[in-house]
Amino acid sequence: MTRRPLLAAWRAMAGWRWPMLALVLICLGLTPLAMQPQPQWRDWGSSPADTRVQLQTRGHFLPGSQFEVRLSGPQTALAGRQVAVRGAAPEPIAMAVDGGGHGGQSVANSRLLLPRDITGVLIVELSKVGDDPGSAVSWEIGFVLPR
Amino acid sequence: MSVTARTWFRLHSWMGLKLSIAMSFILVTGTLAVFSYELDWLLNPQMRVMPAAETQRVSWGALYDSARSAYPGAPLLALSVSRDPWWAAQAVFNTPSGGLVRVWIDPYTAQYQGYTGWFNIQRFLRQAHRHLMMPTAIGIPLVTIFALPLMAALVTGLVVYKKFWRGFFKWPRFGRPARIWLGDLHRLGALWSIWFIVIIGLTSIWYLAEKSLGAAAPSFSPAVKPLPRAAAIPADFDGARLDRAVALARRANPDLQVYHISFPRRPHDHLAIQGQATALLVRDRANAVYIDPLDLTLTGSHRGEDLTAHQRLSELADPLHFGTWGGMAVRIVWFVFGVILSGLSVTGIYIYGLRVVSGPARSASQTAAQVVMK
Repeated sequence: MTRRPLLAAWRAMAGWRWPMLALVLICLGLTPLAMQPQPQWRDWGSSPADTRVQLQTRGHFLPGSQFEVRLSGPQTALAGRQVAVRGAAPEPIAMAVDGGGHGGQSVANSRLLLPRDITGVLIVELSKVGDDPGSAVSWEIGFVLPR
Repeated sequence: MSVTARTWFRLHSWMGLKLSIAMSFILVTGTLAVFSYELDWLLNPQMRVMPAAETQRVSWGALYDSARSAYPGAPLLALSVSRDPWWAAQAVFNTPSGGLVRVWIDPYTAQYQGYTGWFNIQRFLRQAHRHLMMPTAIGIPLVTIFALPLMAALVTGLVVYKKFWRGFFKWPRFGRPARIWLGDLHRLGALWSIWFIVIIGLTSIWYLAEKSLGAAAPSFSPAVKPLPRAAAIPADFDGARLDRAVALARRANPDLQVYHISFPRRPHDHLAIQGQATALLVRDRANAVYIDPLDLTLTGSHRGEDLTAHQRLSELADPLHFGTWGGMAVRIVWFVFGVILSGLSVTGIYIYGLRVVSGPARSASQTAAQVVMK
């Protein structure tokens, strides 16, 4: 027999302790989901139109928030390129390009943390590594921010 | 101890122990929720202002203009001021990504102070306590059903505690073993909390009936619906028009102290100006004046006294459960008794554990009964 009262009480709870503990753990586990309504993907189209690479973003555009950037298009258009998000990430961000299992489309996803001093504009730039800047594809996207 | 008393005691300790983990969590989050707004206030300088005289408050229109210029283009959902003078006024906006953001304005200067996200300590404690973060259809019944064992623990405890009315001034015997003095403390705390357990238990049972058993009171509805317009809020709506709307609301209900304004979300919604008037123990929404934001005509109004008994009961539950009916002093009392109630749950677990570890010489119920009856 244990000499520790709390441990003894814990054992005495028998089959009730796990469902009761589960209620508390479910609550704590669901907290991140409750923090904000889940935002939807927002489509920014392709730029220029003939590149066939689409930009989508998802997240709350507020300083300090998580923000997702997704590029989709033919694998040939995405492979060997790097993405820079000017206004949010100081260095080009790594985006893993998948094998093209989305109806022939490849998708490159990345998640970034918006800085505290962000302005209402992001420039997402897709450029070929080592290529001349002229081949870059870029999107200028704007958001309304509290002042 | 008679067989009947022993059965009651077993029931009391069985419920107290088996449900203790979730019960303690609900009680602790509820207790902290009493001061959840203040916890956010302490952490966020945007929410704080230097108190000044009530007469120095700027108009609602000035708050509106300041909030609008702080977050141009975003839909404004509500504007509210606190009863406490050290709080900034709050404007709630929809963000383009579908979230919510709180913008804070100094109510004495109309200066923009900054913004915070929607989710904060207050939201965490409210949602954890109210529905364990689950969908409300599941979470509210799950939480509120705990009111039944809470009330049952009160009744069984009183039945077991012989001549309990003599125990109100029985100081715990701190020099004795932990099982004795903790038992004394448990009983003393429970006796002084009877009224509080009854209030919390009954209001929780009401929430259970309201949310899960179809007993919700009919919602308030203004007499006239405004004609549909092009936008939820007309393009030329500004602070000056809001001031005229508030003046109209005060003419319609001269007793109205405005604390909250809800802005239309759809093109046929009203501007709802809400607050406190002469009715006791009602939420702000019980006293409301509805105005068409397009032409500033009155579309309806009601006072707390106009509500049906069913609606009044529904309005009564929150101020009583939250302790918000009498200012800071009442909330301090609610917090203190919340701590005591949470303590009853925790000390109950510990006393049970002490009983178990004290050895098998006597049965648990015999031992406990002797402790209880002393």
